[in-house]
Amino acid sequence: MSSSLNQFMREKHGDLLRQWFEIAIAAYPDEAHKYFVKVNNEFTNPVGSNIYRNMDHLLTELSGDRDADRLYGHLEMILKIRAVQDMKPSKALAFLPSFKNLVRTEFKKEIQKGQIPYSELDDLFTDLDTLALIAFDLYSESKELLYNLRIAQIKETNDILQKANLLNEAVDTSTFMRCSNYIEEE
Amino acid sequence: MAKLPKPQELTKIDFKPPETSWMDTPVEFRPGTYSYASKPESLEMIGFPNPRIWSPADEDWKLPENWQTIILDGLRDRLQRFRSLKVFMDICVRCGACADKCHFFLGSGDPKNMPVLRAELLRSVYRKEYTLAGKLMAKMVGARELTLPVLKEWFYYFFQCTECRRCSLFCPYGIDTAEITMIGRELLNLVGLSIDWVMGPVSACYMKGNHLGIQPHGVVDSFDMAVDDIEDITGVRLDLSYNRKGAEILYVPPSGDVFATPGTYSLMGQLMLFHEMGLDYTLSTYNSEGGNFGLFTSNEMMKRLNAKIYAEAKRLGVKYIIGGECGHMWRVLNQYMDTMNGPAPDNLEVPKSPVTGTVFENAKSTKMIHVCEFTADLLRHNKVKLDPSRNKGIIATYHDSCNPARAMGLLDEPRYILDHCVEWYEMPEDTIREKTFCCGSGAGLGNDENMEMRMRGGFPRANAVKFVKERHNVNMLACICAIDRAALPPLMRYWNPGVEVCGVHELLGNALVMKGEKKREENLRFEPLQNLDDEEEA
Repeated sequence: MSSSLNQFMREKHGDLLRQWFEIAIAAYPDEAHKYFVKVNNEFTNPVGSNIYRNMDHLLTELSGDRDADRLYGHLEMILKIRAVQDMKPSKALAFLPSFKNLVRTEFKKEIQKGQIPYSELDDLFTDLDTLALIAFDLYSESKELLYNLRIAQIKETNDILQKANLLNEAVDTSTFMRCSNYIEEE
Repeated sequence: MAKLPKPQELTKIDFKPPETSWMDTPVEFRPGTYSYASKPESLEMIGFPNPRIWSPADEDWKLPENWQTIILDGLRDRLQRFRSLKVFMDICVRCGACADKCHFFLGSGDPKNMPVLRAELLRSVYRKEYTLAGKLMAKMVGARELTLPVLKEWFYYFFQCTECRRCSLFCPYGIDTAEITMIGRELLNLVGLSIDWVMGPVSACYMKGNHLGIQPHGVVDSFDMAVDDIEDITGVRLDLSYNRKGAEILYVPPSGDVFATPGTYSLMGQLMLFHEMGLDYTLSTYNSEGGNFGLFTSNEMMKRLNAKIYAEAKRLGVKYIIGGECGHMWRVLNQYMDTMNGPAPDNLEVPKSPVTGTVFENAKSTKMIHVCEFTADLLRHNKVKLDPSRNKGIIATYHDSCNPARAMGLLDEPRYILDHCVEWYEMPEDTIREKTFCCGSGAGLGNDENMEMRMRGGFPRANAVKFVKERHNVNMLACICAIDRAALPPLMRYWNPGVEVCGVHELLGNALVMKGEKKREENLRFEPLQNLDDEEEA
């Protein structure tokens, strides 16, 4: 996809990526930040390096062909990570719509001068909206998988106990898989 | 009217830590990130204090009225008894070498999962109570009182440590942060604070000899099933013996391998090998567990549970003991058993392989060797006939299970076995051998309710597996720990679908050529062998 916006984004790839990545990892506490920015440590900093690498690829796609499969692939790992990090979806996904503001700010002059046509901006923003929706799918799928893994483990344990005839006694529901008074009363 | 925040503002809201100091921030128990409380009947079974129904998410933890005194007295007592604890409390200079070594910190970014800060939870109370500076200038020297929020924080974070000891490896002072967690849990147990996934197995093991509480006849049934399966696959019928007095060797597996897949496949491989070597060994239906969740509870409980190993070895009059592919069991056996339950009974001798004559001097004191040591020695002496082509289609990598790697230095033997059985590839350097990353589910945290936390903590390991999966098409993650074999399958399903998990001896069992066997068509999982296609083509 050849456009002036894409051309500008490619030229500013490094700057955009740095700022975009900062937005994404602002989600983590300050103490973690200084470790998560060491993105070259692929194996000793898996969160930071995976998010950075995939955002790098996403940015390349966004300023290029915007191939749906590749975009999906790069988003997947980021959302998988965030789905297990105590993050609500709004925060896990916020880096995607945030990119709009980044583009507006970074290319303010070019937009004002009309070097970047409105239609190109609109295209990019529409694609980012779609990506945010896809990202929500990915986040939800990851959560569903988590619950399924949990159920699978409960079933496996149950099977073992059943095989060993240890499930004959009635389950005491007062203690069995008890989460909290608060939740149960709800 | 409140305005909607901008997207970039969303990333920051309530994610930055609160403005209060780390010492004043209470923890939030959100489902998915903590383990359920221990049941009263488990505590009653082993005589532990304060049995009751409670939950970490409840406001009221139903603690004894004088809980602070109990814990502070307990800490004082342990400071006097364990010089190591005293040293660990005083010696840390907060250099930060351990900070980014914990898999839970790396996976979550939660600063209190930095080992230094996890230890600081205990140290802050220690300073306040036992140091002059702490008494006079509490805040300035990082000292604080033991309040209920502090106690809840202890519970939250000491049950977010898998005692894997990766951090200890990087500590210039050699502080064993796992031992700080162990003491932290021990203190929590004094007022009845523990988790079901630890205390359930502890009480079951105490009464019935294994974590699931399966009785002797159930243990025999499970072994019988393995024997039937081996016969179906190989045509060879194994003759196992139970509680046989006068056998040369007592074999102690982790019960996870007796009762649950994929551990059972690894157990089958070991039983097949023992049969093929004509080993004079016996199994015990009373000592049907090598694992020891006492390690995750208290020193005394660990000792009580481990006592059965020497007791059974003495009762049966064996010459030495072989232990199975278990993880934390080997920390107990290699680092504690000798002084804790030893000296070994008089009937035990320094282990000597009846097949090769090798004397295992390394086990001179404990009289117990790891099955991988035994097997690697057999392979070294060309005593085992293998057909590695039966593992065709399997491309493996090897996960150093934390405790065998870091607590006993068992690094090369499992690799040597893999070299003989299967095509396999190493994961990147910083993630293997002594620096191995934990599965994220050890030390009793492998329960289902804690799944989100487990996926977080296991991510550094899974990330390294992903690398070899993409580079070498790895589809099998081999390991030598029963907890790994339970914890890694869901971890792989989440992060690396298509990668399965096995024990090292499963791959050996697949490749093992047995006398009198029928033409092998299936592997130990009853899956068709892929090398048969080659034979047909030939």
